Amino acid sequence: MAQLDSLGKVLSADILIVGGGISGLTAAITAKETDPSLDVLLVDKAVASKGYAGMAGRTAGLLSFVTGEDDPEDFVTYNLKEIGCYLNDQVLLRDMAHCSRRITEQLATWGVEILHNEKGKIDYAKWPFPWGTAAIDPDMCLNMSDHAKKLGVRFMDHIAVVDLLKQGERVIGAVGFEVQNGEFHIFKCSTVILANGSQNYDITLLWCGTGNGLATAWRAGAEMRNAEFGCMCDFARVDPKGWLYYGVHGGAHIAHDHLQNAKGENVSEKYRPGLHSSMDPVAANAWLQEFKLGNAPISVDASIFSHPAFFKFHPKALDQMHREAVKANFPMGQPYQVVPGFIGELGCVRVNHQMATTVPGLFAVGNVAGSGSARGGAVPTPPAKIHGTGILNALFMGSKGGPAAALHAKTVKSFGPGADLDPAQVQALKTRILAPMERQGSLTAHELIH
Amino acid sequence: MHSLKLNEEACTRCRKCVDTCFVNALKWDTSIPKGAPVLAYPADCQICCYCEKLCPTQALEIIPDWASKYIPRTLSNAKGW
Repeated sequence: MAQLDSLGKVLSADILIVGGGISGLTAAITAKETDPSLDVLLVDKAVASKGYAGMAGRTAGLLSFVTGEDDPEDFVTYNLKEIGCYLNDQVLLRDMAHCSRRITEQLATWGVEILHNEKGKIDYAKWPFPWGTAAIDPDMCLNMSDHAKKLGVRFMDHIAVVDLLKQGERVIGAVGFEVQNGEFHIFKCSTVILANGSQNYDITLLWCGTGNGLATAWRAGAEMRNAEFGCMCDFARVDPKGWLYYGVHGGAHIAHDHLQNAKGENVSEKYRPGLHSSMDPVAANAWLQEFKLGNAPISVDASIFSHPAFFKFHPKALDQMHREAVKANFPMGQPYQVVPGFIGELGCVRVNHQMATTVPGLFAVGNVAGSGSARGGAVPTPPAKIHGTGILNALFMGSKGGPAAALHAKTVKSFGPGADLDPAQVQALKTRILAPMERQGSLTAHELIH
Repeated sequence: MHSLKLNEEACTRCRKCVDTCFVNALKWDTSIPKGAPVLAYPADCQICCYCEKLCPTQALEIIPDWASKYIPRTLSNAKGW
């Protein structure tokens, strides 16, 4: 232990959860609910203890779920036929369809605000698809982290976990560093849940994984699945100066059904008739074909502002969107020009129905394993295809992985105090992780930072 | 470059904004009497705006620099653009 102490700050827990977005928080809560005696530690590179981490701070305030008036089998059929190209894991998909309502209702007990109607039922916008969309507090993670703290989950902010420690095939810990002061951290734990599908705002300001969790799982020897389904199409708004606005600032997420060319023709209807659930590469192709025909620029027509989704957002989400729109000079009520953009959203860590990876003791929930669960079929990690299912996906995976990880941790605990960490293994990882800081050149990393 | 707009009067000097920044783009400027947050490394700012959200008095605002993201010239010169 003395040797380990000299390498960094040593901490221990039964379950280490990496990432404090919706899936990580759900896993923490459900693990603690399964066995309150387990020591659950949640770390995040941002500020999960205050409810802002990962994609979570950017939820649009919409949660899709299979409502009482929908048949879960219709949800399964729609996903199979229209979205997943029949490559879905139907058992998991059906499980999600059947328990989505229970998960949604459970959120209220975690302190998350979902708007209810005058009859006391969850209010939702009904789309012409087999699901509805409820308005949910965009700051839901604040409430979830408060609830997790009440249950006894410990939080550490500003910690980036980079690699896992193993003994044979089994996970026995993890290493990482404090992002603000660089202090090296060593975690001793029998079970790790990766919930860091990760976020990189800089690319599109939304929905792009940096690959942190994937790399951690990959280096630990976890199997991958469906890595080929890692890209999706979205649109970015372009203003008359040629500046691009992505993601929440772009306002182009539901543009796909509202495209028109320079002649004023409805491009969406021409290339993909009918209403679609969400974004689709066919829309990008439609843009390209019209461009080739000399019918550019392609714009989003003003009818987008009468989209049903606009009327069911949570008031806080609308307020947030208004702030973002002002910040991004959004032409409210006016048509605006768009260009296609591709988003890399890789979630290929292979998991089973309990969100266990192929490495004993390692679980993966949320975006890091979205495609790897095969639930979505031949599409990128959810929420790529249906608006509002991002939250549902995170909640579903978290609520599967949390209890399973708790059972694993409990079983390992029953065998004794657990394996000792090998200082040599920690030292080797520390040297590799911190190597960029030691590299000599015209400008060192320290000089660049300070 | 992205910039930070601060309402000096509204700022309570609680430093929550600096503490919350996970890329360390914000620093606490001690050169002025009461201290104030500054966007010391604007290139690192991810425009996540957590600092804005956590500010108890809404005293600060991140102003994104949209000119830093532009459409390639070859495309903007194409026919019909």
